[in-house]
Amino acid sequence: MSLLTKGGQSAFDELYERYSKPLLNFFYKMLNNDREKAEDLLHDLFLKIIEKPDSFDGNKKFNTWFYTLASNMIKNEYRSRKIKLQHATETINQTQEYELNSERLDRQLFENRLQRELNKLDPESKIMFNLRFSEEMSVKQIAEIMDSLEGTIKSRLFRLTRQLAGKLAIYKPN
Amino acid sequence: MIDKDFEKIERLLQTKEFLELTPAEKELVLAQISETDYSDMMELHIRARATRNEEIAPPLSLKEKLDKALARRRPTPIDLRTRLPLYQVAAVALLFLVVGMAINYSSETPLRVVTNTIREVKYINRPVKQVQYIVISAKDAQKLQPIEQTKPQVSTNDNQTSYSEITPETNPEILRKQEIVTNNIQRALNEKNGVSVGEDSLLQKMLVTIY
Repeated sequence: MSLLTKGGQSAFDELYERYSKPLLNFFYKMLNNDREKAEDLLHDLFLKIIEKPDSFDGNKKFNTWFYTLASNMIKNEYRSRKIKLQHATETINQTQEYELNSERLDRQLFENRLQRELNKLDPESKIMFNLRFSEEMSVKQIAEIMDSLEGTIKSRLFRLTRQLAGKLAIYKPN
Repeated sequence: MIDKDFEKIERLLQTKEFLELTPAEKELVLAQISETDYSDMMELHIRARATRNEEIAPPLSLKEKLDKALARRRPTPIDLRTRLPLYQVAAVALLFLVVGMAINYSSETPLRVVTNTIREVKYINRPVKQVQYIVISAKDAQKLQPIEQTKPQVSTNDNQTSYSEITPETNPEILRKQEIVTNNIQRALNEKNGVSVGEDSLLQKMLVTIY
């Protein structure tokens, strides 16, 4: 990060190479597969890092810091277009359901339903779920990103998983 | 409670169905959730993790935009765009002011009026004179031969009283009283001032008692 502060192109290339793809997919999932918006957020995130590299919190790992920034951007995005997002998700999901072949139908139905249930959650719960299940982060990392205690994250994750599992039980294969 | 067993139960959810759990593991799980909950949660764990396989890659145009932004951001040798916080500017201004005042103050030649405050005390050794006046009858006064009249005579109705200074050598009685008086005075002065009358010859000569 100190190299980036001095304007090092190679340092920036290294950061971009390492984190751009995971972050883009994180945005992509969190924004219900809205690729254009996901790319916009990824651009804004790296632009922040370029313009204010000194804002890097030395106590955190790069990975944690990036996802903290990304989570905050997601929350802001949710606030700005909460209603629009809900409507778009349902439209996309309905369209996709007709295009599925029979082999993937069961799995896709489950994913759509999961996404729909996640969209009903508050932004923090949705971010927490995706960090755990999609990004496979540890509880400690999630606690740092969410600025919360590990015990709190564990309780919330367990309760959330149980709640979602109950709602998605009908999609279980026989 | 779940804080303690969270990792263990999650690991079981990812690896074992409920029927595969050992009695101890079942006890651990059933302390938190039911068998049905466990099966539902296990399904969610497996499927939710499977959904992350579909990944997208960022376009090249995005990297090019960011590279241009980075090129614009590269610091110049003297970066004049850096804005200092207000308190830093104020602190620097205050520092210059204090240094300037200090330099100005040190260059002035101080004008000081020195006053001699030493007090010189002069001690003047003066002889102490004490004159004792006594009242005597006219008969006694005739016996005396005045050597020097220092006070005017005062007349009364029956007895004439005169003031005179006599020498002690003329009367033995006077000599005796003079000695007593001298001793008394000397003792009193010694008690008061620590000064001996015996050393003052003039004083001794002036102490005369006449009845």
